[in-house]
Amino acid sequence: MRTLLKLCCGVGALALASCASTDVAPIETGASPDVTTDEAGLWQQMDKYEQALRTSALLERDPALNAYVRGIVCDVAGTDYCEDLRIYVVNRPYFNATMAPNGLMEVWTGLLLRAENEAQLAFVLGHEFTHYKNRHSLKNWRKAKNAANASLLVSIGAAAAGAGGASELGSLLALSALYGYGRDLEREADMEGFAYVTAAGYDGSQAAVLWQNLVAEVQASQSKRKKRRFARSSIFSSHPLTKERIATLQGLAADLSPGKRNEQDYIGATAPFLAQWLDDDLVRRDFGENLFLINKLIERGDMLGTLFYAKAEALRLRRGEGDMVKAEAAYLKATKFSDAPAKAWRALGDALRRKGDTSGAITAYQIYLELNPAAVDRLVVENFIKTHALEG
Amino acid sequence: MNSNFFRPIFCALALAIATACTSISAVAPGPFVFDKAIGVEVGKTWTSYPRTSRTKSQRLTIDGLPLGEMLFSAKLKSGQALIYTTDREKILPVFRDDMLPGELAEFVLDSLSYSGMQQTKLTELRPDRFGVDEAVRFTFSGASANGLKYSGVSKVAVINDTLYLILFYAPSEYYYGLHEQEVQNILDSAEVL
Amino acid sequence: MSFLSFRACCAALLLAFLSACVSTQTVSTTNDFDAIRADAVVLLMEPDVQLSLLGASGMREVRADWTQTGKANVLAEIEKYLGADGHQLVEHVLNPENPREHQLIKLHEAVGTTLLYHRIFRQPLPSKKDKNDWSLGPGVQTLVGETQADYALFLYARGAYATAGRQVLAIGLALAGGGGVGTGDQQAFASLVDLKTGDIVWFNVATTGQGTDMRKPEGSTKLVKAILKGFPLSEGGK
Repeated sequence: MRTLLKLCCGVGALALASCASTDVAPIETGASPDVTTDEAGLWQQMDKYEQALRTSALLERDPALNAYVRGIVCDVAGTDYCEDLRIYVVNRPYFNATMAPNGLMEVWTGLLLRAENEAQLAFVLGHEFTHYKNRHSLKNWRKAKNAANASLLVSIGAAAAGAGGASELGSLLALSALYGYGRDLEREADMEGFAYVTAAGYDGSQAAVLWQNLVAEVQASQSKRKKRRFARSSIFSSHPLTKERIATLQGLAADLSPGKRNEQDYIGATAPFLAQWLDDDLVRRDFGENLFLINKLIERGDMLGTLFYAKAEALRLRRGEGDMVKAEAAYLKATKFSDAPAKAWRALGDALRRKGDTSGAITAYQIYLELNPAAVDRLVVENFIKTHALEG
Repeated sequence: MNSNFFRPIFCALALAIATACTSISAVAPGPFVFDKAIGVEVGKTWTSYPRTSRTKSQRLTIDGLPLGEMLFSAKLKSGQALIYTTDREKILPVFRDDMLPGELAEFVLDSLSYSGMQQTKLTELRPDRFGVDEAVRFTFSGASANGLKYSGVSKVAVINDTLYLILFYAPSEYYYGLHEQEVQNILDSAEVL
Repeated sequence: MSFLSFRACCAALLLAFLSACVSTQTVSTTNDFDAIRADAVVLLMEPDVQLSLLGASGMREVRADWTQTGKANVLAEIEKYLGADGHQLVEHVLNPENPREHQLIKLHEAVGTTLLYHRIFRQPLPSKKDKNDWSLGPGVQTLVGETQADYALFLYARGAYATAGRQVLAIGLALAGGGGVGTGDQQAFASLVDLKTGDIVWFNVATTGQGTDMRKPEGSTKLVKAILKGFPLSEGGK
């Protein structure tokens, strides 16, 4: 017991002595850390990750889209910092972007699908850039390291004192310190990101709108559990409480004159990917959220063939009461627009076939095969036409 | 085919060591029967893993699962999923007994996507037979999260309102080709029992 | 940073299942294999090395400087070791324009992982009873390029070295009758691929403890000796 107590003090002294400072200055342009530092270790890991990311199946390699997103980052971060950043568009259907200490930024396609204009995207990019500039990864790492050492201290002390329960308390405190710190940094990233975006001439009011849209989407979720978690936002959630966040951003925007939104540029740049991103989003199988998003995009009045097809797909997959009838109507509607994908005809054929309208189905299938002679399911479709044309 | 398959297998190892390995067995060349529901003829020696009751499925491999996995599933009912996850916020792709041929392929491929396969893409879909019953056979491509490309083939049928499935996928580089003929033979020999 | 979990798991498992002192486990191909000619050209693939500081709490902090030094030491040592037998070592330069090279490197990772799982961790795989015929296939010829290499050598190494605080903790707990606090160690695995057939002709896992610190030249000499144990250098192997 005595040894343990001594040990505890010994470790305590060492832990305190080696307590890493979380008070770090913003990174300068063109800077990279000294090779002997903990920061260099973080960079090295991310360099390795980045090497793998470059050959990952998830990477969106389209040059035009990458150039477009990079242009906005440079607008927000300034051309000097922009040279230190490498931006990757990643095909993941979730609302997210990430920033690594070495200048690697990931922009997920789920974010690009949900942002309504450049100003909204720019805000997220400004937020991520702040994580980089203010070296938040390093701060977080040091905070975590210090917390882990402190937690060790508490648990050894508690073990020595024979109080088992207290050791759990130790790790709990350490954990919430870790997560609480995360929330502070997120707040800082919101504030500074907002400043960068408005300085670049973007409409600051869009920052809050982006979050309001996200809240509304989650409210529409199929998952009660997800809705509950989102509403609760416990001490362990690393982002600031959403309500508080929206209010703060609205407050910041209130005194500013409206800036640019560049909605048409945004729609133009993302339009070629809309069909693919909606397909990817459907794999999540959260039909409430899927349909919320699709309906919101339909309001825009653009690319309606793509959007009504996606809506029909969500309804067909959900198969709720009356969904199949609504799906058939949406497929039919999609085919009236020039941007409808060829597969909308296949799906319309399926819908008609399902309700017994064989000749209607055959007509739709034939249009499908005309529009897409190299269809991967050609043999199956032809097989249906062949077997049922005789009956008709 | 659990939702973690594409995460490297090490993380599952602790669990594997904790549980007894007695039910991992060899399948010798000759007839192989899955779940008293599907009978096939295999030409090589395979390793079979225990049946997973939750997804009514069983996995077989020759070189190790990341290098080629064959999955059997039978009598999956409407509303059931081919995969499982511990994340209760997630909503899984489920089988429906009224699915048309294209939807069956879509269900299987979305299940794979959900498990972590990337860029899953149908490459051919054609009519086939599962014994005497109508079925579809399809091929597909995909990639693991770190970018290793995979190729696959599957045969699916809806019999008595339930799903019967045989699925195989392996890295496109070397392994898929290595076992392609064996897998075709197995699919051709499939019968409903 | 969930993408780091594979490495973390791998290191943790090696730690858990292999003893702390120097130990190696070798797997040799059961396919037909001609011993390496004395003048064989060996293509050294970019080694995957990462060295960390093991903190008092057990957190690992990657050290870029140690990693650089360790990698350079190990490379120099491998070159010396193979050169002594007359083999020529050529460092592989990845051709970014050739996606198949990437596929082969990724496939090697998948095969290596599988081999580790079923042979080193001894998880049953009855379909390969008494057989070690894992291969990357003849597609590996694309890696040869201009080098005329006969074999490719892959290397993966991890090391963790304790802080003073953790050493005090380990000693203290040991005195108090406790235990289970590691003070760090090194794990490495290497594999040799025949560039004609793609067969993995030799695979070795080494876990090493004291006196093999790859951050120091004399330590890396011992470490490389352990990593290359059983390496089929000449007729009949060694």
